[in-house]
Amino acid sequence: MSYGFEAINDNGKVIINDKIENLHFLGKATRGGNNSDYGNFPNYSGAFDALDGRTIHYFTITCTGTPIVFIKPYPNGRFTGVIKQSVSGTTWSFDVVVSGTSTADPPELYCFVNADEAPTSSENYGMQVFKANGTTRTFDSRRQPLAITSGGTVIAPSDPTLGTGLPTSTSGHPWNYATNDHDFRCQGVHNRYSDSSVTTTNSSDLMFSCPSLAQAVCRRRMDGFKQSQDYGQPTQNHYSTAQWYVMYRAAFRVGTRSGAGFFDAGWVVYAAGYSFSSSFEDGGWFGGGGGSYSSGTMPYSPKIINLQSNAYILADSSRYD
Amino acid sequence: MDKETVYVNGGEIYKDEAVKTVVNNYTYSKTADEVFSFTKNVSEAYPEGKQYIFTEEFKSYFPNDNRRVGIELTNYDLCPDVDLWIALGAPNESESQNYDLFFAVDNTAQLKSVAAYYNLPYPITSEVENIITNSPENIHMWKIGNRSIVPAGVQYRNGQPSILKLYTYPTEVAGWSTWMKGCSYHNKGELYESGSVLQQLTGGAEKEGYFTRGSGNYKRAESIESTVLDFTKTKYYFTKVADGGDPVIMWEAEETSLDSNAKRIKKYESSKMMRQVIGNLTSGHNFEEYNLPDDVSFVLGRSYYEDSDDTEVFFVATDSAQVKRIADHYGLQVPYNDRLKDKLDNDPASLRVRHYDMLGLGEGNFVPVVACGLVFVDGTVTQLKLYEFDRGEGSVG
Repeated sequence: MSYGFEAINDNGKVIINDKIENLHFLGKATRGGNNSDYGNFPNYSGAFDALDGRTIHYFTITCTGTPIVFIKPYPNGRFTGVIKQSVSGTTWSFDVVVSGTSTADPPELYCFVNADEAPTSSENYGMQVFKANGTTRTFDSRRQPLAITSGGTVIAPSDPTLGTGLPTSTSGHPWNYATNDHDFRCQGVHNRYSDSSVTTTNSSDLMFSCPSLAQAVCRRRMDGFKQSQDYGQPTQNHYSTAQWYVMYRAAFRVGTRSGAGFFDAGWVVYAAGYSFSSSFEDGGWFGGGGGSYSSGTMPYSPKIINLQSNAYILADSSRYD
Repeated sequence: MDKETVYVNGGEIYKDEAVKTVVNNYTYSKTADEVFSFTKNVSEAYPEGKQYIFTEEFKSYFPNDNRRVGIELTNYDLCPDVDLWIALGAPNESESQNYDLFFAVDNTAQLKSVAAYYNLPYPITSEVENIITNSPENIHMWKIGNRSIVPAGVQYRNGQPSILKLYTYPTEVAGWSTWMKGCSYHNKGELYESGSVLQQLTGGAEKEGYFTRGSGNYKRAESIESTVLDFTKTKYYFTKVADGGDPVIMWEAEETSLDSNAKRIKKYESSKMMRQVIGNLTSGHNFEEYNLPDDVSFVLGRSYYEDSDDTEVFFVATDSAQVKRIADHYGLQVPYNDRLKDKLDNDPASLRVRHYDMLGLGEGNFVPVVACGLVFVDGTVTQLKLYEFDRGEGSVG
C-alpha cells in the first residue's frame, strides 16, 4: 500500500486497512417463537428416559448483506448455539438452540455486517476507510465496528453422552425387552478452554460467535428374540427391536454465574426418538401379528460428523446496547 | 388341527393322527435342518432315535437353510424313476440296515414304478391318486415354487425294502394349514365366534391379497377368518403403524353380513397399559370413559367401528371368580362352561392370547394372558365374552 490508512495491533496483525472489511453492528435480531422438547425420550417410559431437553428460539433480522451473529447467552450456564441460518429475500432467519426445556431467559442475538450494510449514522465526526475504488467502506467508526475481546479454537468431546462410551447395538435380549441402559444426557459433557478475558465482572456481557457445525447421532439398539415351538409347524420366531436415538448439535457457553476464565464446547440435544418393533410368526385376532412403532425418524445412521476445532470469537455486547 | 395320514399297501392307513399328536413322537432340534427341525424319538425300530438328513439337491431349494450341508445318497439303492430324493431317515448317515429313503412323488405312474423297483405294494387307492393328480397342494408337505411336494418313503428293515409309504397332510381348509384356532364364548359357554389362522406355503412368492410371513421357501401367506354365529363372516387384515395402525394390535377386521353382504370395518386399539408392558411405550389410553369395575384391573384394548359407538373392551381374565364378579356387576351370565372354567382356573395357557411379560420379571417369567371382552352397545354392556386360542396342545408361544 503506497498510501492510505492501516492500523496494526500489538501482534503485528492488520485490523483496519483498505482491503479488510470490518464488521459493524447491524442490530439485534427479533426473537419470535420457540420450540421446547426432549426433556426425555418421546413415548418411552423406563430406565434412562431422561434427556436434558432443548429449546429452539427463532430469530429474524432484515439485511441486504450477510450477517455474522453473536449469541449473548443469559448467564445461567446453559449451552447455546446457532444451528441454522437462512435467508429469504432480505429476511435472515436464525435458529438458536439452548439446552434445557425452559423457555425463560432466552439469549439475544447481535448481528454484524460490513460497513456499507450497517445502519447509517447521523454522527458528523469519525473515521471512514474506503477501498481503492473510493466508494466501498471497509471501516466506519460511526457505525459501531465490532471490537473483539478474545478468541481461540474449541472442539466438543467425541462422545456426547453421559453414559460410558458410545451406545451400542446388542442382541440376545429377551423378546420385547425395551429397557434403555445408556445415559444419553449430555449436560456436563464438554471440553473446557481457559480464556482469561472472561471475568466474573464481564461474563454476563460477553457474546460469542462460534458455528455449531458438529452433529452426532447416537443410538442404543437392543434386539430381542424368543423361539418357541408349535406342533407340526416350523419353529416360531419372535423378534423385537427397541431403539433409542438422540441427535446432538455442538453448543457452547462462556463463563457462568459460578465461574469465569473459560469457554466450554459441548453438546445439546436436538432431537430424539424411540422405536419399538415386535413380531412373531403366528397371527391371530387382537393378540396376533406384530409391527413397529416409531416416535421419530432417525435423521441418519449413528455417526458423528464435522467434529473439528472451531474458531470462537468473544466480544463485549454492552458496547452495542 | 390338521393331521398326517400315511398310506401303505393299496390304501391301508398306516398312520392317521392329528399333527399335535404326531409330534409327540418327535423332539425339536436346533441342529436339524430347518425344512424339518425335528428328530424322531427313540422307538423299538430306532433305539438310537432317527434323524432326518436332507439331500444336497433338496436343500438347494431352501437356500436360507444352512444349519447342515446336504448329503448325497450314493451308498443307497435308488430307483432311477425318482427325480428328487428328499432325505435319509436314519440314526446316522452311514446306517445300512434300518432307514427310510424319502422322495418327492411326481405322479402316480412314478409311484407305481418305485413300488415295482423295490418290489413293494403300491400304497394308495384311486381316491388318493386323484388328489395327487389334481390337487397335490391339498396334501403337500412343502412347496418349491409352484410345485407341491408330496413325500413318499421306502422303509428298509435289516437291509431290505420293507414298506412303501405315502405321506399326506390333509387340512381342514383345503390348501391351508391351521396355525391357530380362536373362539369366543358367552352365556355360560355358548360359542359366539369361531375361526382360524390359516397359513399356506407360497413357494417363496407373495400371494396377492394376503399378508405373507417368513422368507425364502418358508414364506407363508396368512388368512384369518372367523364366523360370528351364522350371521357375520370376518376377515382379519394386518395393518401397519405407518398407515395409521395400532402399534401393538396390528389388525383390522372386515365384517361381512351373511344376510345382506353389507361390510363394515372393525378397528383395534391397544391400551396404554398394554403398550407399556409390551414395549415401554407411553402412548394410548386406558379407556376410563367406560367406567369399568375394579375387577377389571388390566385393560388390553378395544375394538370399535368408525361409523358407530359400538365397542368391545378387552381385559385380562385372571380366574373364573373375577369373571363372575364382572358378569354379576353387569347382570350378565358368565361366558364360560365347566370346561372353560377349568381351563381358566387351572390351565390358562390353553386359552391364552399370548405369553407376555406382564410382571416385568423378564425372560422365563412371561405369563399367559387370557382375554375377556365387554361389548358396549349404545353405552350399555350387552355381552361378556371369553376368548380361547388353540395352537395345539402343549405349544408355547
